[in-house]
Amino acid sequence: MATAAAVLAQPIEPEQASLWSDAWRRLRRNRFALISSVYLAFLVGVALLALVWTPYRMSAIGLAQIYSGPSAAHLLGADELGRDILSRLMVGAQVSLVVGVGTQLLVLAVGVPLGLIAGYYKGVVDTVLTFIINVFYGIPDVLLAMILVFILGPSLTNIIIAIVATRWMDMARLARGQALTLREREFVEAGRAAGARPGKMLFGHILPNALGPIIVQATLGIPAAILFEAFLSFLGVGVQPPTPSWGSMANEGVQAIQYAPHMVIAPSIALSVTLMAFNFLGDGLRDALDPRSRR
Amino acid sequence: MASPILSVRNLRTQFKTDAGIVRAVDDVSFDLFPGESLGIVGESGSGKSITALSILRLVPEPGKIVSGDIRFRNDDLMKMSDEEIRDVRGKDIAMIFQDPQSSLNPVIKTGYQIDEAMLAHKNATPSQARARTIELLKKVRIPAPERRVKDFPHQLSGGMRQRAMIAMGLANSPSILIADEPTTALDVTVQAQILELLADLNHELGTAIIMITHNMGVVAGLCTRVIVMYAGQIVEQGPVDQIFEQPQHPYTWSLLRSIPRVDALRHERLRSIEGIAPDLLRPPSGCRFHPRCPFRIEKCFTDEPHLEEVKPDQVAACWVTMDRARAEMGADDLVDIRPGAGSGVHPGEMR
Amino acid sequence: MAEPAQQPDIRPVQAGAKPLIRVENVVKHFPAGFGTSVKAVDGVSFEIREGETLGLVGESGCGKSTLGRLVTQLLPVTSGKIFLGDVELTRLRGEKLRQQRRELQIIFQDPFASLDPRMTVGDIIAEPLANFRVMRGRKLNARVQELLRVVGLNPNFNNRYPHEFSGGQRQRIGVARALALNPKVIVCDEAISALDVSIQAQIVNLLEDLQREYRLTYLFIAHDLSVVRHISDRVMVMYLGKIVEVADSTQTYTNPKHPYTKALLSAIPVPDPRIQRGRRLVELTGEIPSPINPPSGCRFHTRCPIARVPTPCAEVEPPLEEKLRDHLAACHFSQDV
Repeated sequence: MATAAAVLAQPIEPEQASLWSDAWRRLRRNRFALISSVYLAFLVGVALLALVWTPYRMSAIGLAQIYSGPSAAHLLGADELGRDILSRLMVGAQVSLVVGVGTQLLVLAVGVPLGLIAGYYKGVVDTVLTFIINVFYGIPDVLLAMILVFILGPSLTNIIIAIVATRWMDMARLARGQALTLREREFVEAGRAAGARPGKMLFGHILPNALGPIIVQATLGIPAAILFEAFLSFLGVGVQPPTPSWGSMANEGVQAIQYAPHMVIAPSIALSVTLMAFNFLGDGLRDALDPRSRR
Repeated sequence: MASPILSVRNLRTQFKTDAGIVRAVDDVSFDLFPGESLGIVGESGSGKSITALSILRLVPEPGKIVSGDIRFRNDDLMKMSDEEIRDVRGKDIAMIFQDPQSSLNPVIKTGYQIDEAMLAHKNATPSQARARTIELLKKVRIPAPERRVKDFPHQLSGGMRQRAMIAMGLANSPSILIADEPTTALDVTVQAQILELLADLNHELGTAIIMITHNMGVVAGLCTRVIVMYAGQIVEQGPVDQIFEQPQHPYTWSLLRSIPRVDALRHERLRSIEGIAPDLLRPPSGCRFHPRCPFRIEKCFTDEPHLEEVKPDQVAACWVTMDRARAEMGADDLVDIRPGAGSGVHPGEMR
Repeated sequence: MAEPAQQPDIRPVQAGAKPLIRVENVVKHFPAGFGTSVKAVDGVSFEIREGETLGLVGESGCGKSTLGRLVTQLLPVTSGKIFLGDVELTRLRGEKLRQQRRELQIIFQDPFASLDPRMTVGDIIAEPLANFRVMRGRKLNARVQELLRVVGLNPNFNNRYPHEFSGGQRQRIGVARALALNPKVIVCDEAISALDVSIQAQIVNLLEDLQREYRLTYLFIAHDLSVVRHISDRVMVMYLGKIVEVADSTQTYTNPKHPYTKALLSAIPVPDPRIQRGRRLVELTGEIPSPINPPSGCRFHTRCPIARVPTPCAEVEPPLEEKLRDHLAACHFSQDV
């Protein structure tokens, strides 16, 4: 067979190295991201634990302990109804995580396909989507969220929907931008020359290459969503009692700040640390996935 | 023979990376004589560009000149302070690069940038500088220079931008002009004009030229002496006629045989060099070319050869050399696919 | 290193051999704002014969890359027709056009950008076969490994990613991908320009071997005339969106009939100091005009050393016509070249 004199290729690096495993290696080296991941894993554990056990039932009222500070019986103290703050904090973790992750999953499901299609096909589809995005941006997000919760009713699911309605545009815009850039790259043209159908082009070529920034954006969107929910609960339109959310706990705590400061401190610290952790993780992911900062 | 105007001895430039140390330039030594045009030829990774940048201490991070002696006239460039070397750059030794687009500031008028080259070295008053700029643009054969000085770089074509770069380089009458792949990004007709310009400037002004390129044709037309580099080292050096007609290093020989010739009389299969470019992180043991060399012997795997005289005024770093390979291994010489030298058909001319 | 010193010249170059690709009066204009347009390709007609390598050369702005994209219909024409065999490609859309891609493949210039960095090499080569559902599973894997072997790569590396290979190796992957569907025609769009000189020779030899083995037809687009001379049977020279000369490769270089071709040839540096010193450069005045506003009449007249202005060169566009047997040129004064 008339082949070229056999040039048995030696790849430059000896081990198989996909871009994902490469990113994973770099992420592991980022200490802050690592610590954050550990903390978040711990948080998830606490939230799961709270499904089956908390030191006290989160709605258990104890009139003898109202406003009591941290003690042996109540490690973080009790609130204005004598409920154990630690237990409520643990259940609150569930709420925060469900809201945070849930909203982002929905945002991904809605924003990414829309954005990719608009960016890849351009033309009318793009004009329409951009118009819709700008309309949504025009509505103040707190107002929109409150209206939606008011219409749909204040359940956890509805809060998630309300938050998604205010946040999906960021993801759609990002996905659109990625598609616009990637569609000009030569390997996309090569895919077309190789006979790929449009669906394959979008989800086989463009999406995998756009995933990096999309994942980072979704990760950084989690603390934003948690904070938004906390804010809504603070305003009174979040989760309804007796379900605790860190935001509503902080709200109740602020009212008693003079004589029972532990009530506001506990959920505030929980919120802050969790937000920080997600941010560090998101930043770490961004650095790890950025092909330009290789070496 | 006059004394060299530039003398490089044992230059080593390295890059520290996550994966290890890259020995981009590994013990390079050569001389440049006044008015001479020297070609440094090699492929990517050969170290030719970094060598040039090292001379003017322009090596980008994370590169560092680790050791070596570079003397311009009698001054040691390595020992100079930042201020002193800045004085040398653009005045005694000028450099032009491959992409004039990125070397010229797009928001400053071209004429002013050339004026700046003189004003920065306090070589002239603004009006003197402007007069000389126009004169320089004439010299590099830009038509209507009085109008061109007022143009921004993007208003000039690629060829004209490169001429403007050359004008900038010559502004302070340097003794040496280093040209790093100046024509690679240009069309072939423009390339020919620029090369002709450089040759004329070399003869007229006596400016020595170091021409860095991967194109053997360019070297053949412009240079009197050639240095061939591979994997950070000099593998062969000598007068241009000798190097092309009797290359002694197998890399030089293979390179010449792998280039298709536009004046070839019949279709000859190209003799390609097998294998891939060497890994500068973990270069091959012994002679760095040995994994790809058709004439290697056992010694080549273990011992690194040094530059030795193989013909009058020609050195090569090889344990075997082409003369010996031809004699002992029966390697066929350049089959004559071109017309006899000095006669016959030139491309484009009817027989 | 067992390499034959000479190859017998088996080149099917007869005029009248069946054309595999026919291009008729193809025009491609890109809008450039304010009602102007870039006339990248401005009325081009030629044919590519079965089994040949047709070289396409020209400098920047001549339209050769655009023409390559048009032939493979990666870009739609503004007007004109392109035929692959009896099928009029320019009439087809969507799925029907996609089906034709099985016969018409392309190798791109940039070995780093033309491979999807997130796909394994095996998937990249398999993609054309998967797209057309030609084969699956073990048969597909076997074919991918065979293709890797054919282009000179280790078949066990199909699980590696593009960034693990060198430029020349990646280009081989591109060749394997183009070969996967056993196409009739492969367009090589500056397929070796981004490679080191010594690697270029490897790929050129590979392309020649594959052509012999698989009876391929090439449209070889490049700006390096030495390589085009070497690999092509016939050569087309383009200037500012038009073809100025078509001839077999030896004729083009020894007996050009267009002043631009002659000037181009005189500018190519030859790696031989004694010959190079004896050569004379044909000077062209001025710069390449903008393709937005090409000169009237013969587009080359503004820079031509033998142009007679204003008549006829600035007024009448010379047709591309046969000056010698199977040798076409578009010049009023070919006899003076």
